[in-house]
Amino acid sequence: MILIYFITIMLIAALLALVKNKPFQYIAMSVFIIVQITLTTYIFFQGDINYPDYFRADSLGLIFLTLLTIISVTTIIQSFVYLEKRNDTIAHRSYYFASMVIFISSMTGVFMSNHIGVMWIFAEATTLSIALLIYHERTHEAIEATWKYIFISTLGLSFSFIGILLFDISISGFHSALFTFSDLQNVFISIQNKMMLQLAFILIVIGFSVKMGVFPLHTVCIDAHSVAPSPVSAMVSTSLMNVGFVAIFRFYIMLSHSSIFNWMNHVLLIIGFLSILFAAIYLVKVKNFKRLIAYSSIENLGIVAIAIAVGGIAWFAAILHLVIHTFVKSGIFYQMAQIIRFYKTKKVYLIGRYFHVNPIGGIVMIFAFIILSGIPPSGFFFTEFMIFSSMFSGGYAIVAGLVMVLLCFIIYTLAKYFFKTLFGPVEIETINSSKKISKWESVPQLILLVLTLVISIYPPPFLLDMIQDAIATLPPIN
Amino acid sequence: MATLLNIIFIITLFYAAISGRMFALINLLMIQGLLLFGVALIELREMNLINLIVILVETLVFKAILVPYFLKRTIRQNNIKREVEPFISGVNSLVIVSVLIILSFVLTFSLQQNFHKVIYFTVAFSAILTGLFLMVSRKKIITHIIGYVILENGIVLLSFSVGNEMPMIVNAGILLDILVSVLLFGFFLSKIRYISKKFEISSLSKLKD
Repeated sequence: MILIYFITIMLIAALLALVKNKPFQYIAMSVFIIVQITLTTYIFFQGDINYPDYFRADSLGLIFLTLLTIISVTTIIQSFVYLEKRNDTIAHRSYYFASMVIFISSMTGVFMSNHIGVMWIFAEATTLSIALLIYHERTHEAIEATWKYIFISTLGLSFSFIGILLFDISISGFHSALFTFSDLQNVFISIQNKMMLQLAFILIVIGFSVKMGVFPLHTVCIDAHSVAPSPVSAMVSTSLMNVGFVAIFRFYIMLSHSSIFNWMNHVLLIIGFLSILFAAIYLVKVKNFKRLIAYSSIENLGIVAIAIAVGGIAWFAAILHLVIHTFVKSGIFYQMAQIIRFYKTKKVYLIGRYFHVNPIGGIVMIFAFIILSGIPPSGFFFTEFMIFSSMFSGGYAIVAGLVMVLLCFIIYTLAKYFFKTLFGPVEIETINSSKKISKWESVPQLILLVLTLVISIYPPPFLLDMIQDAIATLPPIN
Repeated sequence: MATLLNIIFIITLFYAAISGRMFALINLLMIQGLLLFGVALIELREMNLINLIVILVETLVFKAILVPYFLKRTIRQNNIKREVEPFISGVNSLVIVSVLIILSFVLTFSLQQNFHKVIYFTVAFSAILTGLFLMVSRKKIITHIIGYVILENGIVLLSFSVGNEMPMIVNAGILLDILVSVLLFGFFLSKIRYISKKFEISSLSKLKD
């Protein structure tokens, strides 16, 4: 099944790049959506893939694959909206869609792969395929951001490949047949060479931090957010960050019974704390609306990294946090596309009175702010509550206090700029000179926000079961 | 024999540190590609035949022919100046690279691996560190790509020393990914001429808060 999927995807991408025709793009993207949904539902109900050496459908991968499929449908709809309002040549459009198809399918590959090398290949493929998407607007900033993103990301992934090779060397005495996550979990219990494993894990975390958007290499991720077309930013900020999380978390699970378990927790705690710290510091001087939201993503992924480190109920909260984050953040970025188009700027201080201009879009932004800031009934309230309470009970009270202070700064900045956008003053010229906004454009965002609320208030039991299953093999924290 | 090739590999790293001409650096990449081909030929003899042939052909074609050719073409097409223009002078670079090689010896022995191929480990780490050093110490963006290729050569050497447990499809995918990334670097490098004719990293400083 998954092999047929990848062949179909290659075919669709090749046709999209070659056939430069608008109606064809609509047809091909609809076919792609159908293929993606078919694969997801098939794996969801069948729960089984034919190639256990390379691919495996476990709960962790499946949760994020489902999220990816939902987000990709809305992203493709919003991409059409975005592209219709721009006067791009037909060639640019076709490269956009071809890259998007490869990008989404390589993320699918990361979530589904079981072989470590295969996962690395797909992770690298996400970097290569996103290049043209970031470059789409073809401005100077776009060139700069694309260059930095692909260079640093490729370099980072090279580091994680060194890490993978070090794992390979460290198990060379204990011949296991396959180099897969599921097979190796038991091998690492008996490995005594602590320093080798530590070096390998730190290299892997550094490499995938580009994708996950946490401390060492998060800066290129922010640059990519700020210049990419907004529907693409929505993907970078949600699904791509989930890719980084899944990669790191799989290694974490694989090593969870080894001798470096406590050390890994300390590394992740430091990384998460530094991410939140950097986000809070840089948010003070941010002037670009998209960078503002990007720093908010860094902060949320920092919380997730801390949650992994703390363990216990926080592992559960981390995945739930990412699910909610995925829905709300993509909604914000879709709405952002509209805001940027209307005001023709990304500068925060030139945007205002958005509620007056487009009440439905304004409601989306207010909703999104309530969820982001963790005011009940936002799901972030529950997840952050779980994370903080397990931090206090786990002996991390000082860190928890510091993180709370930093979160106050972040929420203050977010509130300042969100309400400036909605109700703040703006030159009346800007509003009169722009075109009217269609109400229907905000429908996908509203659906995503309703989904967020549903998950926050009544999380579906099958989701909770899947999250429980994903963290089932982790050891009890001491 | 493999040890000899490894020593020649180390010597190419020293040469990379002092070389002042771009084309000399790229020829060096070609030599490194040939060396990797030789190492693969000696080290991986026991692998099954099809797998071996794929790896050998890929190493030779990608590392020794396509990547250097493509880099040279990029330089010619964009009229990039042929000097390397380091921040750190040749002699100092030489000293730093020597220190890096000693560091990788220390690292290898501190990992305490009773691993029979200590020399591979050392050479691979030296190449990785030298590649990183070339990236941070040179002004031109094309030298960053060359540094990246040297780093990748180090990683490939390391993966050969593992005795290669990865199945063929994985190896092929990894080498293909590396090739495509170098092609993409070249493509976007030629786009940088719209920002600055000098192709220096200092011209990419517009995105900040």
